[in-house]
Amino acid sequence: MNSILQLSNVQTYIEQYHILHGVSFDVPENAVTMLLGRNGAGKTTTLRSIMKMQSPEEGEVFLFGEPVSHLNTREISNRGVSYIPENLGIFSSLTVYENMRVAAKNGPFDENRLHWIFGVFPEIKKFWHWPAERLSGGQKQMLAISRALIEPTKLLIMDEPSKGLAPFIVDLFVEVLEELKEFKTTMLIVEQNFKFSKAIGDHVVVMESGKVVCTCSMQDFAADESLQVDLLGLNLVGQR
Amino acid sequence: MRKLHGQYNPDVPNPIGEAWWTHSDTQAWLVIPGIMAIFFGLVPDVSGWLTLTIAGLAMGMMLFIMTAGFNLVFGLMGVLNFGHSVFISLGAYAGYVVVKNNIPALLSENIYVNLGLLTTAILFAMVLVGVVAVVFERLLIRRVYHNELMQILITIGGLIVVEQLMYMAWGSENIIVPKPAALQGGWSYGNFVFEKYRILAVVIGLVLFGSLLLTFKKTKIGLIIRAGVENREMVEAFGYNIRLLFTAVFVGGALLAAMGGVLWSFYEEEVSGQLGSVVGCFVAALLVGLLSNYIGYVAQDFSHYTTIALMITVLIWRPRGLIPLNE
Repeated sequence: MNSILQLSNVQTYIEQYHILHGVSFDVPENAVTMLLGRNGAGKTTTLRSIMKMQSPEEGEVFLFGEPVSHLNTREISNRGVSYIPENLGIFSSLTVYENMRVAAKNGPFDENRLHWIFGVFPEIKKFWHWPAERLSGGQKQMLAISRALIEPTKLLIMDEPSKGLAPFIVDLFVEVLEELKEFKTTMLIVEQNFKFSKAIGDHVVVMESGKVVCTCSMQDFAADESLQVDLLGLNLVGQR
Repeated sequence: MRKLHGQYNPDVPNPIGEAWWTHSDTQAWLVIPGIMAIFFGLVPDVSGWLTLTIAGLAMGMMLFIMTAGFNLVFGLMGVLNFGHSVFISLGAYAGYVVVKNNIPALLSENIYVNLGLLTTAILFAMVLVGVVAVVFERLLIRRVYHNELMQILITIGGLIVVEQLMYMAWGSENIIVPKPAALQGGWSYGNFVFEKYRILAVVIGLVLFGSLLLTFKKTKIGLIIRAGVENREMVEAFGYNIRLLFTAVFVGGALLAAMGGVLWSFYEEEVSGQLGSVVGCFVAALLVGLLSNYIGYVAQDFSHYTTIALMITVLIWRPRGLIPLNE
């Protein structure tokens, strides 16, 4: 299987703190890779290093086989990478429509995509002219995903999409992401909710203290309870 | 369970419509007619009140034009450009150069010739200030984006350098720039005089404010700038060139300052709107203009304290600005 994204020995510092200690893993094409690990393992910094929002000191990131460490965030985005940060990055003083317009970088909305988004998230149409700050947490997440999908994307990177959401909204997102999988969308998702991860993930990368400690298929990882408890913590029991 | 395909319903209602206007905005806007109403009672005659109101609105409009750029640059770039005033001065000097070389047009009684001269002066000022603004942003501002202390030092340094260059070119004495002949005086109705130049300033200010609002509300570039004010990193993650946007906004703000400088030079302070909000800047500028004129008339001894008193009042009433961005 081809890899869309490869990280090779990525070392990232935030100020004087050494956060990533040589992170290496592959994100296979047309599949969902779940980046798991306890709080503080370096998952978010890994995503930010890929997007060049944090500059790695050493190592290399390869996108579609080409090194991209010399590129900036804009150039990486323009190679077909959509990023949804943990805080969603919603422009709260803009309306839902205006948020979508900013996301539709290449001009007018693609009607087919917009139609699909309205079908998946009717709330986006319902609150089209609402200021985004008035949306609920779930609706903001819907807007964040809608923004990321309004333009064609080759790689969708999400940081904890289920965070702080009600269980029924999480179930909805599982459905949406499953549909995206059917469209062969490659995704790299940081997640704490293992039930969510198990439902949509194909591959697993587990991080601990800024290092990758496990890469395997979700099938193998989901079958090995002792490995889950060992790498993700005991609180996992409640999430299965 | 929702099915993802075939469930699109174009008839889903939009119950709220454009709910972008808030109660808070209304309160801020109401301060303007409120102040007008209060001074309507304090100023003894109606014609005096009308004259002061037009003068206050004209002054407020010019303050808005001159300060809108400073406001935008801080809002989008987080840069406190203490050198902004140099763009106003340079604009005024550039306007003076055009006027000095077109005395017949200045003295002409033909309003169109006068307006042509004013337009030429504004365009020349914009070109000159635009070039200086690009150099200022590339040379100074770009190096200090994330260092507030350095921003203050380097922009004041830039101000001093350009100021001294202007002194070298035009001297340090005040230069009198008379209004174009047909724009002098006004139309009188009883005791009330509509001063032509003030009416022109109000019209230009309103057109500019409307254009800025339309740009920020309706155009893609306006949306990207508003988005950038909130979250620069995310705008870049959508693939936009934020550095280019910064330069464009910086130069745009300087062009407005140049225009304000020209208008001000033909006519004769700082604003407390929340930084980053065009509407807040507009309301605050009008408040400064109106209050300066009203207080200057009814309590002249206190006129020097008007702006500082207004600033203190706004800071107590609305510490986040007259019309905060995310209220």
